Amino acid sequence: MLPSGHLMNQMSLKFFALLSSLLLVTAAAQAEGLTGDAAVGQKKNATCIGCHGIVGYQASFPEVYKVPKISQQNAKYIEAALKAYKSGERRHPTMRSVAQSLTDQDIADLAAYYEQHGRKVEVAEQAVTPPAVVADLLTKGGCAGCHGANFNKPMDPSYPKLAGQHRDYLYIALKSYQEQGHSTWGRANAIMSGMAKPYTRAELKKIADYLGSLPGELQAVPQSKFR
Amino acid sequence: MFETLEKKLATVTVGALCWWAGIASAVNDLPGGPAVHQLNLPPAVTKIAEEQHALHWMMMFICLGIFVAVFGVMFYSIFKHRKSLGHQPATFHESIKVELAWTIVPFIIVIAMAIPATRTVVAQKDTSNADLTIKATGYQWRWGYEYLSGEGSGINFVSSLDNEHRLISDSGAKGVALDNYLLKVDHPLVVPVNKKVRIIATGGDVIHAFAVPAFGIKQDAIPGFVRDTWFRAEKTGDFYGQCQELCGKEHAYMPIHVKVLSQEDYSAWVKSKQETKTAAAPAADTAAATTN
Repeated sequence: MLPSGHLMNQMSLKFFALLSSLLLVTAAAQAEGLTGDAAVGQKKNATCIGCHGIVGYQASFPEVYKVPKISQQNAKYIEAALKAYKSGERRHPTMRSVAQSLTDQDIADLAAYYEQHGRKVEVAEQAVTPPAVVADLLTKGGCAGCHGANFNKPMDPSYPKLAGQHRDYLYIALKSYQEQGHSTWGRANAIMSGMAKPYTRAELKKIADYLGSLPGELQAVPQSKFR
Repeated sequence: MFETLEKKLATVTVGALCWWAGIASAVNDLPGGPAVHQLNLPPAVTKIAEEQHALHWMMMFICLGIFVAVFGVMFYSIFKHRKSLGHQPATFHESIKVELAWTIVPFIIVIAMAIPATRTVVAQKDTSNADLTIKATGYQWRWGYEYLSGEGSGINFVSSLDNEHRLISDSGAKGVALDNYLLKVDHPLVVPVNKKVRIIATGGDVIHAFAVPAFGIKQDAIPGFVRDTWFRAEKTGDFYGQCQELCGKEHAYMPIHVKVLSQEDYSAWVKSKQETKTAAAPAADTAAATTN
């Protein structure tokens, strides 16, 4: 006989997660053929600066939230995110138009540029203990398992640093993993969808607020006024 | 030391770019775009734009007539009826005749201007029976075009400013003489000549505006709404416009380039575009199609 529905679901979820991570690894291996050049990336980032280089800049449509800080973010993650926007896996009208106009080489260059952009911040190594409510939620999802110690040292460079990211952005991102089928928002990443779905919106909000409050390396760095 | 080096580098880059563009020194008129020392409206390429020009000149002459008449009477009075010549002021109150005159005359003038103008405005808004419908979406900071119906339906692409031009602008653009400076895009909007093209404008993030002066069109592109306009280009060639609603840091860097082709050339373009589409990864395209 087939296992019960719940068990079945869990099993297929785990299998799916495994399969996707395998796929991700293969994709990363393929992408390694391209090496990003930060100096070249700096020449292609005019439209990035318009939002990500303005401290506190808010995206206004379809939802209002602060655009993510991307300076000091992992290059492999930026690359993966841009490719997901390009393919339609992540839905956001403006980011899709940006990603569509970039070649794979452009994406690699920009990712390399933003990884080293901004100042080096020393974040304390010792583990931060989250408040009990949030700790339960984080353990339930096993978030630190991928996103790393203090959510600042991801296990794989294709996973994002989360500590200190804008909390409203984190909330929208988590919410987007829960829902598909909208034309202007939603994220279809198999692993993160599986992770985000069991939570309620209120719980996601708590997680986002906690992650946003952590000290992190991520920054929004304005363009120099002198060029 | 570092600064001078950077400056030198910038000069070399700009020089190289000039050479690359094959331009000696002076900038020339750009057909379908801005002209050197341009004062007048750009040459009309559609019936609507012609009518707009006619209206523009008509109103200009009416204004000029009123200006000459009002200032003529005023200066005549100042010089001929001044106090030093012994003129006494009139001392009447509430003259019905004068009040009627200054109410009725402007009213007639306004109506005389409104009748032909209304006819043009109504024609501008008549987007029915279009041969080709294209959705133009303004993004921060590029245009997305989607061919919705008519020949070439299903084609969609994003049109961005040439990055070389963006870099020239960043370095100060000193001594740069490119005719199509900041108007060169990677994928221009391609349309057939003498066909009614309906443009549906919308925004992906903030309000933009789709405008091509030579066609006499300008339509706000508002997120969450669709607004439309139309044109029927009567000449083949390249025509240019820019986003005309302040939309953020790169507002000046999202040009519109419309390439008007003959019917045969347009059909050939559609064919080549659809062939490359089927050749490209189909997965990406289906994802793209479902996204919008």
